[in-house]
Amino acid sequence: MEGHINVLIEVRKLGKTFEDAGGNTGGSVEAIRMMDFKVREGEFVSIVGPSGCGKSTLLDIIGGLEKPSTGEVIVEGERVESPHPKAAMVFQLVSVFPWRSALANVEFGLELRKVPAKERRAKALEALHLVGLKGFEAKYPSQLSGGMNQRLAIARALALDPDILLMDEPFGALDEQTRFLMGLELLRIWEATRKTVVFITHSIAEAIQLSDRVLVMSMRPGVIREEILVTLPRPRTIETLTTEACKEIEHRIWDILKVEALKGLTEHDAR
Amino acid sequence: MHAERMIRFGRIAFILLAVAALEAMVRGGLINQLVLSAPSRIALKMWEDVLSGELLAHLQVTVMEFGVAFAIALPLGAACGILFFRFRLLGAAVEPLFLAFYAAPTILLYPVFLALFGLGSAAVIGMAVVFGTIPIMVNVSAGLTGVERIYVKLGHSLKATPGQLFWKIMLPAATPTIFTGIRLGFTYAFVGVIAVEFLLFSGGLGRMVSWRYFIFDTEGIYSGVVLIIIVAALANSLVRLAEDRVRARWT
Amino acid sequence: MAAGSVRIRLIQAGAVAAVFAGFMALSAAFPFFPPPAAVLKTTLGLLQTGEIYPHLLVTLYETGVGFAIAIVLGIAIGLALGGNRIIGETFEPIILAAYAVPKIILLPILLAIFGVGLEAKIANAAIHGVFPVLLNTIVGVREVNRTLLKLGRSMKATRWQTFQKIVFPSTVLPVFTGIRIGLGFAVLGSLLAELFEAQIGLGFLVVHFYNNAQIGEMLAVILFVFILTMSVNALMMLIERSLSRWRVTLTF
Repeated sequence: MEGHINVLIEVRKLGKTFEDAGGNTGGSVEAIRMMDFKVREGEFVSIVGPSGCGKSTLLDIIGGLEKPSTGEVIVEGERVESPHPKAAMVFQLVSVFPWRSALANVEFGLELRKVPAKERRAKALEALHLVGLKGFEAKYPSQLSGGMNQRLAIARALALDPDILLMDEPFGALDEQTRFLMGLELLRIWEATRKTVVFITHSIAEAIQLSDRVLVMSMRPGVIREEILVTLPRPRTIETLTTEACKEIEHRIWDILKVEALKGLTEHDAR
Repeated sequence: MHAERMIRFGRIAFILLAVAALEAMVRGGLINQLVLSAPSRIALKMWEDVLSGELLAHLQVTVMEFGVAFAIALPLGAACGILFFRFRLLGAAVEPLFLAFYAAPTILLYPVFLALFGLGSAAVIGMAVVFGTIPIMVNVSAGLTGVERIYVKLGHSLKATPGQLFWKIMLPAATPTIFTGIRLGFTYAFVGVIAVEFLLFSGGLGRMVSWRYFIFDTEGIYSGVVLIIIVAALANSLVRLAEDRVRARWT
Repeated sequence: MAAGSVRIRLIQAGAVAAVFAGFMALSAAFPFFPPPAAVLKTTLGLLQTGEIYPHLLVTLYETGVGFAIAIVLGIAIGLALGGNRIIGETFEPIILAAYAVPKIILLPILLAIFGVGLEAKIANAAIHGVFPVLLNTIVGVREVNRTLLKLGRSMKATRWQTFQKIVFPSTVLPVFTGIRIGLGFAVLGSLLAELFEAQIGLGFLVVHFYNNAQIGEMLAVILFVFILTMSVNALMMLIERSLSRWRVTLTF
């Protein structure tokens, strides 16, 4: 059954080396090496790895913000050279503009694409409703909580009606309870819109809670150590996450990550 | 809040007490009348100055000179600031030179402007332009280069054109810093105008005070000083208010 | 990094050359301005003949005494205002407002109080120099890391120990910055007073040369003052940089 579903993203022999990175490494840093994987339409794929393993670099390349040193990324049949119009990114750091209202923030991407005002407004309102922020159109980011602002960033991405969502640790700056609730929110939105999601996180629990498939990354230079299918039933509730099956997956991932994370502790970081 | 009211009361009480003490000391002969006039007489002289139109006449000159100077300094500073942002190497090289310039007593250059433009408003304006341009230039450059990287990254991920990037992201993000630069430029230009007027006797509020010094009009001196302080404080608080508004909306 | 700094030096040299060329053009357009090369020669000449020294010494004296007063007052008041929230909030707006006022207009008052001698210049230097020191001391005291203060309290540090081991090291850098900037202002204060009403001093010398139509000599004195103040400032910035290991803002 899976073989007939469209492959939306294909990563082939991807490698990225940064020249002149400064510091102790004497010039160049190999961030990722020989990555190969596919993402199918409608899939929720998480990429888990220790800090500094190159996850963000990987996402930046898929998002067209960085050029690979070797290999390529194919999105919807085309090689990625610049940001793909059908892929939208959500970042970890707060990227909503404090000088714009919530509505104006969500409209931003549409504004750049010169979508006419009435249409913009309608799409933006729809997106706000979808992320559960209906009624907050006139509020400013300083009046909203961290979680709400990240929902704003997600709404902004959704307003562009993308096929693919690329999310770089979007809940990383939030506290644990908010993170979990935001995860549930994200699943609700995903199930309603069935977008394809590539989600980066360093939290194993989060990866299992959200995804169909988890790619476990190694320490720098990053490669995919293992692909793990999360066969837990949906919808994923707090009960699902306490089952034996879930714990088993968690242990499998942790066993791999443990080795990689320890490498990170002992390595002299060039920062 | 209780504490806030106490503070405001304390401030006003302090000023009132100081004024009352001075009044007593002058009337009691403790302070020579040539050195300090009684506050009551100063107030009277101030009132006279306002009524006689003297204040207005000098104020007009000062405002005109300041207006022209600021109207030149603002675009000039902004243009240079954008230049130093656009060509980062140039900016990194030249900005430390300007900052070093700050440490020197720039006012010493006023005879140069006097020699170039003769005695009159042009010399005042020239000097004030120098004072006002530098903070604007430095802050425009710093504001634009200091824009959060994530905003630029977001812009790129949405395929913003360079024009969209500048007008819709960088400029709004830099606005608080730029506005601080504008406030500083405003303040420094104003101080510059008064200072040169004072030294050159060329006209305006500065001249009003220095002239009265030379004709031994003690009451007049103090009247002028207090009036200038009022004008300066008013103008500055207006600009600060605007700046606070901007910062509130922008952060 | 090294390659970049060579290019920066080149651009800076170019900037100085451009200013030089600018002055040459100015001199060509307005013949009463001697060309920059001549001004440099005159500067050296003034130094050689010793004509500038009495004036330099007087200005230095005025600045020195005035600034010493400013430092003492600035730090003392700054500690008081910074350490006590209520007193600080009461008076700080008044002090901040003072920045916007052109302090030059206080000169006639100072001259009335002190007469036309050096005292008025010293007072003016003090008034100009005190504000940066004062404000930076307030900020320095306020910004002492609360966590470190809490640590001290938990270890039962005495008031003196708290000051010596936590507050003082925290405030060294901002106070030094205030002193560096304040020194420049104090020099400005002395010179302003000398420009207005004086018989001796570098400011007086500028006016004197101007009135005698000795524009070259006037520019020479201005150049000398600029080089002197900028050099002292650069030196103090070096000291400031080495002091910055005292900076208590830790980032993880």
